[in-house]
Amino acid sequence: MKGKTGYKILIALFMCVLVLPGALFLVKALSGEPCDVKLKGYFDAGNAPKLTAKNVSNGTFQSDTTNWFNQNFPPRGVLIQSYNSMRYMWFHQGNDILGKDDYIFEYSYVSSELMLEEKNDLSLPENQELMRDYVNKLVAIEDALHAQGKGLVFYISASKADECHDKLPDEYVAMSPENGIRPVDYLRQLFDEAGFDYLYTPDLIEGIPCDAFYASGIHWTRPLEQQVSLAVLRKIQEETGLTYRSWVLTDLQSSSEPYNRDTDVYNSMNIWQPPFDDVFYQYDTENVELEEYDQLNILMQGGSFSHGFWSDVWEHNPDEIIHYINYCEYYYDSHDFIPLNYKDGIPDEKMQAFYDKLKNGNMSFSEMVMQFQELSCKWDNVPIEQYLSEVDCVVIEINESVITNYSNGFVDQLYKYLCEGGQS
Amino acid sequence: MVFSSPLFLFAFFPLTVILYYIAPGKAKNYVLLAMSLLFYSWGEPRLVLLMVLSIIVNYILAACMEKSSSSSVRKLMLILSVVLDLGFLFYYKYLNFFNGILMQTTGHYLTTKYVALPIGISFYTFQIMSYVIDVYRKNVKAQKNPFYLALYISLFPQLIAGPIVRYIDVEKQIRERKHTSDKFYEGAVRFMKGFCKKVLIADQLAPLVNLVFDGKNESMLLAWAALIAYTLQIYYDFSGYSDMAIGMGKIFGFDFAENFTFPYISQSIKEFWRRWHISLSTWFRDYVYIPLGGSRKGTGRTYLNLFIVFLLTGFWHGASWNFLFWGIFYAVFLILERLGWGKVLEKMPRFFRHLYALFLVSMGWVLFRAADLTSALLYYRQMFTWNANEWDTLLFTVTPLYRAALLAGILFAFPHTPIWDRLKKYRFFELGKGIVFFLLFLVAICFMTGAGFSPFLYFRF
Repeated sequence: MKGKTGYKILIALFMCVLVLPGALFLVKALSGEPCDVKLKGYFDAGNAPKLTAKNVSNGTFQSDTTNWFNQNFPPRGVLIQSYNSMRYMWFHQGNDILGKDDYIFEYSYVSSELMLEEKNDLSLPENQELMRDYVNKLVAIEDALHAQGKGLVFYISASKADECHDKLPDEYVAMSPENGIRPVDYLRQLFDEAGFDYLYTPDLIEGIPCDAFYASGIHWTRPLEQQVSLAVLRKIQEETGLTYRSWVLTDLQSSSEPYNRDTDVYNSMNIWQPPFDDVFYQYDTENVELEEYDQLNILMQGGSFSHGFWSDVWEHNPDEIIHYINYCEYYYDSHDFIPLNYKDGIPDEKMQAFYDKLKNGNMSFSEMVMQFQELSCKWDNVPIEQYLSEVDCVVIEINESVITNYSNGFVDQLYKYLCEGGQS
Repeated sequence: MVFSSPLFLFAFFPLTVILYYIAPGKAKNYVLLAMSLLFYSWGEPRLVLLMVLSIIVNYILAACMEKSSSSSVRKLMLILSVVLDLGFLFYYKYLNFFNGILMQTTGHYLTTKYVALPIGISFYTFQIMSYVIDVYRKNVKAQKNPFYLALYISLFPQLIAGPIVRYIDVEKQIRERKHTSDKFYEGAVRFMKGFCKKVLIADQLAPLVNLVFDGKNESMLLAWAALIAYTLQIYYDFSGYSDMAIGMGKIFGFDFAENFTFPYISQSIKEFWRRWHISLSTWFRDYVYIPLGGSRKGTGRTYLNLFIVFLLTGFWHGASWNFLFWGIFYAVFLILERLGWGKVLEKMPRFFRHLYALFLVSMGWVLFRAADLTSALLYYRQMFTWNANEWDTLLFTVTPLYRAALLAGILFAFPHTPIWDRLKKYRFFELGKGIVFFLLFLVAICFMTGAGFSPFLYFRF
């Protein structure tokens, strides 16, 4: 028969493809070698199944084995990375939104910029009402803090979707409501009307020698982040009237290797292709020596953009005191990391259900993030009153993309303690 | 365990193939039986006993039937078998439905507990019934070896999603079948083809279909796009599974009958049902329609028979009103075609005939896919209600990946006979085809792993 050898070769290849992962799985189990590439980002390896008569009869063993194998067989990482690369290469698609010139955006940034969800369209009266309430509370908090001799610094961090608007995909831009008002525009309008002082970080972009955002990162470039850190420190100084240790930016370094979070969103795509940006920048810094200074002592709340501030501060002066609260997810002060969803170290029932679901691998990464944020908002676990009594200043960072989260309840908490005497 | 899952593909299936080919002669059947029972019990650790019980009882009844020369005893055995098989099916598949109706109409109920549907019960029940009925009709001899009968019923490639294999078609193969590299090759290529159809087309379209059918968008154009997507999804999903089953059958030496022959090129509803899920429609033809009298007892009775068959066909697919209406929908058009509409159609241009059949089939899929009858009616309304930003919404939602899957789905729904005929003349056509499917198979494996778990649509039947 013509091509019979060819048939046999193809049969052998077919069987090799089927047998290889099982064989690698055994090698992995026996030797501990991963036999695979490591994926970046969230990866739930699942729990190994337990073989008991009860587990077999109720199907738990079977479903656990299926999940466990599906999550752990080698070369799963290679296959997923290949899948992501094909999807990117052939369809210009990824887990996040791929814009023009390979600019990657996360959905929340695009949604806020283009007002794709109703909550982000501030032309709607009910949304305006919510934001007015937020601003009124901020003004009242500022007054209350000033009355106690403390300061309030509020800064809006730049959004990639705003700064790189021209790189957004056309089909997303087309979905934007014609007469909508972006959250950042309405917030700034209300601040101006109320005479509320704040730092608008996009104003600092002109002063940096490179782009504000790389195609491959969702966070701002290091030079902008470094400028913002200094600007925030200056602002705190202005508010408190104290003198803090600082640093200066010296030479601008460039590298083909990314600094810090320059390729964070690219990394999460898990593709074979190299990062789209080829040069990354960062300033060298030098501490400013002062004979007399005050110790920084602040309560800070914000999201990932505020990490730049505390990491820069602690890099130069590790003994500065920053009680940092990430949204309402965790507390961090360079020593302690405390998830706020735990009370006395014990997760509540809802949290336990969430972790169980997470463990079983029945949750996508975005779902996990959303639920984590939703579940973890337990301000009762945070001794805000104690922090307020200790610190000189409160710093709030809010990114343009999450303005309508209204600081995840932090402002309400401050208002409760400072303006309502701590009553709920 | 779905075929397009890593555990099946990289553990269960290769292990079964290896054990099967290591096993000598007749032991092969026992290996297949053991692995088939393991396969079924993986998803139904307790209800595997129901299947085993069903096999044992039907084996005994068929054996008694064959031994008896009395026609009344034979008939009694048949009735017992049918009542038992349909009784199990009724209890596990339809009790919840009738319980709901009873509660709504009288306030009383048969049971308070919810009965879970065992995987593949509709398929294996019909297989068992075909065996017993054929023994009763003396078309086949009763199987003497209970393990062989068990193998016929539980054979894992076709157990959960068909095709519905008739005992008469595989009787000899169970006893004796040939294993050649050509057949293995043919089976492997067929399996890869089915896998690609399922993973690269059906699964890629699923999120678009779910998004729109779950009522998360009210665009008219999107409703049409999602309906086209679902029309393709269900075909590639189901026929992909059938291809995989046929392919695995060949690897184990079996030859299963075809289940689909390009149904979307049909020019009438009658033709559609000759091309779609052939094993089910022929089952109903041979075991319901013809025994009812078929078309031999006058026009009125023919229409009634058609109506009954399609009502049952709809009900076989699911215990809910929309499946019943889906069956009735087809019965109405089949009767209309018989009443004379079919002759009018024949005189119309071919393009119109294709359009007619495709339009009706797609409309029927709305009933099939919608969560309930109300959702189906809302969907029909959405299909004819223009909204603002229709084009923007369509372009926004139907991403390049969906567009590619839609295009591929449409392209491969046609036979392209002249092209294949020309290619077949080349010496290495078969091998070339195999290489192409192998490469696509590798891509599909990446897609299966990357896109995560994808449950099979036909599990609920």
